Amino acid sequence: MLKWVLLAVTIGLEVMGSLSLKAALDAPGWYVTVVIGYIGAFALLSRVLKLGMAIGVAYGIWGACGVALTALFSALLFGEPLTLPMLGGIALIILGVLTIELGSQRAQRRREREREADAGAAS
Amino acid sequence: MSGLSILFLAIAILAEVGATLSLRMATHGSRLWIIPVAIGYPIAFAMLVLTLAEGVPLGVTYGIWTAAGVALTAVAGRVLFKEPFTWLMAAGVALIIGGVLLVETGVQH
Repeated sequence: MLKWVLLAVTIGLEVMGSLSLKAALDAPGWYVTVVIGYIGAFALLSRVLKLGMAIGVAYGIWGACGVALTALFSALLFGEPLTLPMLGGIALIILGVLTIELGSQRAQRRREREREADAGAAS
Repeated sequence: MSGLSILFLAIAILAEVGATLSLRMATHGSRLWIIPVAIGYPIAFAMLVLTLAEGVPLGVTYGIWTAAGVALTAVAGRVLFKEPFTWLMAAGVALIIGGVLLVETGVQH
């Protein structure tokens, strides 16, 4: 449970960092929250991985939620356009990130099992 | 998106992928690989700021940057480190390319 809470905080920090990047264009003071957001996100992400979440799952959810929330909040806060084709494209991007990360995790696990089977056969 | 903003975003993506791959080299081999890591990430962020300064929306910039980074890292991992790259992952790359193109056309309307 703790690792999911930490992952949510990680995503929040990262989205905060990205939104500050845009705000910093007009007011450079926002670079402070950019730095805090990104460094905090990476520190927490490594905690999440140490708690035993697979890297593919953590990265996939992190990337997918980050893209969705950043698009949503930059539309709300900065009045950026969010047309129907853009929403569809963002949905495809999120699906693609999740597919790659979860697919890579599945392939790694399969490879490890094969390696163990080989080692077992050799001994 | 203007030609200049596409160039900035492309450099941001390449710098980030280069730094991420160097990070993997640094954790597995020579510590000297930490140098391109330390150079790559700041370049990536500087280029992101320049892309935003060109007027590309943050939602678009961030989405394309993240997705292209994930896709390129997966492909480069296959080529450089012989990591697995399955049909499922190739489908993910195709989804991302389709999504980026869709976002790109949506911005211009």
